[in-house]
Amino acid sequence: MGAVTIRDLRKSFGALDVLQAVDLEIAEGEFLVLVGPSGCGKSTLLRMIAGLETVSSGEIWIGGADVTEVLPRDRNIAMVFQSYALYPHMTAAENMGFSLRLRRAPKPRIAEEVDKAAGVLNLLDYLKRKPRELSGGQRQRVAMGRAIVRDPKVFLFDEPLSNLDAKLRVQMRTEIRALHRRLGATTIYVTHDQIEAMTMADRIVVMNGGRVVQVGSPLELYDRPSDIFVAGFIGSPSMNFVPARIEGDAAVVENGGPGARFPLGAMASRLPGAVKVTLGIRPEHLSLGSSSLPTLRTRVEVVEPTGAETLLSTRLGGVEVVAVVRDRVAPGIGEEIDLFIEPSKLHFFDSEGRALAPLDRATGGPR
Amino acid sequence: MPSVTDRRSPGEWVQFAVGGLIVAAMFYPTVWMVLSAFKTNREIFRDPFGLPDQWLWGNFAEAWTEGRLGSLYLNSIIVTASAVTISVFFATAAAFAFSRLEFPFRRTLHRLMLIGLLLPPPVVAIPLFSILRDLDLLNTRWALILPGAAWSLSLTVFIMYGYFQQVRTDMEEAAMLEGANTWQIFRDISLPMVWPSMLTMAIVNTINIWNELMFALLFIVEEEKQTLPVGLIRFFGRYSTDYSMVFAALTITTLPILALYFLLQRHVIAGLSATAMD
Repeated sequence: MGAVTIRDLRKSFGALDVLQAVDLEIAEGEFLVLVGPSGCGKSTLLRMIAGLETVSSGEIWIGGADVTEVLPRDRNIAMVFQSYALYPHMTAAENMGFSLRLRRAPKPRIAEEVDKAAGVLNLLDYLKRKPRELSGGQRQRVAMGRAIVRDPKVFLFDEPLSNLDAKLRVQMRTEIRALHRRLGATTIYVTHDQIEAMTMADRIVVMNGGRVVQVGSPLELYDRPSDIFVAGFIGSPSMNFVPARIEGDAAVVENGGPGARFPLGAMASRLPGAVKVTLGIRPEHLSLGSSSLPTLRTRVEVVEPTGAETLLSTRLGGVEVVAVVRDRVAPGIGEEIDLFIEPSKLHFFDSEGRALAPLDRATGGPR
Repeated sequence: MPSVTDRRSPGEWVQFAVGGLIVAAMFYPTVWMVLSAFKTNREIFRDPFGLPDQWLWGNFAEAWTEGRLGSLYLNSIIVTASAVTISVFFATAAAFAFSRLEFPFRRTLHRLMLIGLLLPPPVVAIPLFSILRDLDLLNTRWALILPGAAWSLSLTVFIMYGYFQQVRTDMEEAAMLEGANTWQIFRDISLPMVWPSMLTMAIVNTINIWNELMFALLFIVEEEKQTLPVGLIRFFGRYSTDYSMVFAALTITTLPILALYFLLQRHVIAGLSATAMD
């Protein structure tokens, strides 16, 4: 019923292409997150699914029906806006029951549906309040309640947590996820926050420059980013990128110290004539302490202890290398240290930023 | 601890003085009119700026009866209320359409509408006269209601359009997704959000239409359909004028507008702050 299919969808404003040939299959009941930097086209795509933006070319199917030219009100979808978009002159209950009032539902039924949704969202005590009398989190819940009462095929969320403080954001994240499990409706959620994407999604769609760069489960994207953009976007702090040159069957980082030699294994044969690669190293995969693993010798610039872990900002030539280590004993600023990394955790990117298959964890050889 | 006034600079005091002078200059004619309404004709000329020797409340009753202000009042109220209602409602609907809907020649029509801001009334007086004559509306209240409403449209559309441009569209989009059609969005979502601005325009248009003289002189001949500004001319005789009567009648005419202004102004401010949600 609620599956969404997007075929070769494009959107242009004059000569500017904001969305280029997007193809997506969203299964019924799936929680899909569209993520990407500002201006990547994720909100435009969501608004096109909602019918709030016209389509330059391509098709949108919802529940097996082509809705590309269908009016927003006939698409049977509900949307939660970043600004909540609550009607300021109506109470929380009136806001939530507005769609039923438009459908001329009898008053007792409206009250029943509103109470049911308010019960789920812990809003029963606030139903008579106007939006301006509610806190940010309560407004957000009313906006969700309005969507629930509508009982749509597809829920759309457009950066719904951006206006909340950090603590509330974490709480609402859990609530939205729990709500999705309870209702089981197809959900498309837009955010620029990759943590939100990672924690909430069944699948993530990473977008950049109006294109879909990669689609996959959160851990797939984390473990096997398809290119340097996804690798840098997913994960916090961001992945470190260190330029290296090929010497025989290994990539060598210049000025990286005597241990900065990373074996390419069978991957070497896939780089005919290549002289340069970029090494991708996640900050959490670097560690202090002695080992026989390959190392990078860097100079410490900033030390930020957060309690559970310590963030080390270091420099290797002209490149910043960030490490997140569990050790409480942090090196001094200006000190040269060796950062260790398991070869299986390394990512390799070619000169155009495309990912080369990562090394196998067990053998150190290519997968 | 020094109070706020102690910390004011000489420059600020000059600003206050200039501001005070401007307010006095603007408001004094009204005070002068009200004071003169309590005087005799002779006293007005003998001591134009002083307080009345005797407060002659009877002047108002006399002006009301002599000028037959009752029927003039009724006509003015009917004409103003109808014209203001028509102009504010239709201008708001037009501003909504111009700012929210896509239709052919939208920009051209919008600009054409705003040309009305530039036209002085005498330019259209004669064409309007012919149109009203052809429609058989001369000497009816419609001859004042329709031109009055039409004349206010340009300014009201202009102001309301600016207001709509400032109102976020996401609430209307939310309503659209919830199943509302354009009319329902306008009625249930947009109108309640822009009402403070509509109230402001209602005040402005009321003042303009209540005081309108030229059309009222040209299009209405029968005395029982005349409005207050025309009726006031009756007090000016060919050879002599009783100015105490003129000022009493003027005070009676002006007071409701002043009262309306002060009454609604409070609502407008309250309404404006209520609309700003974030």
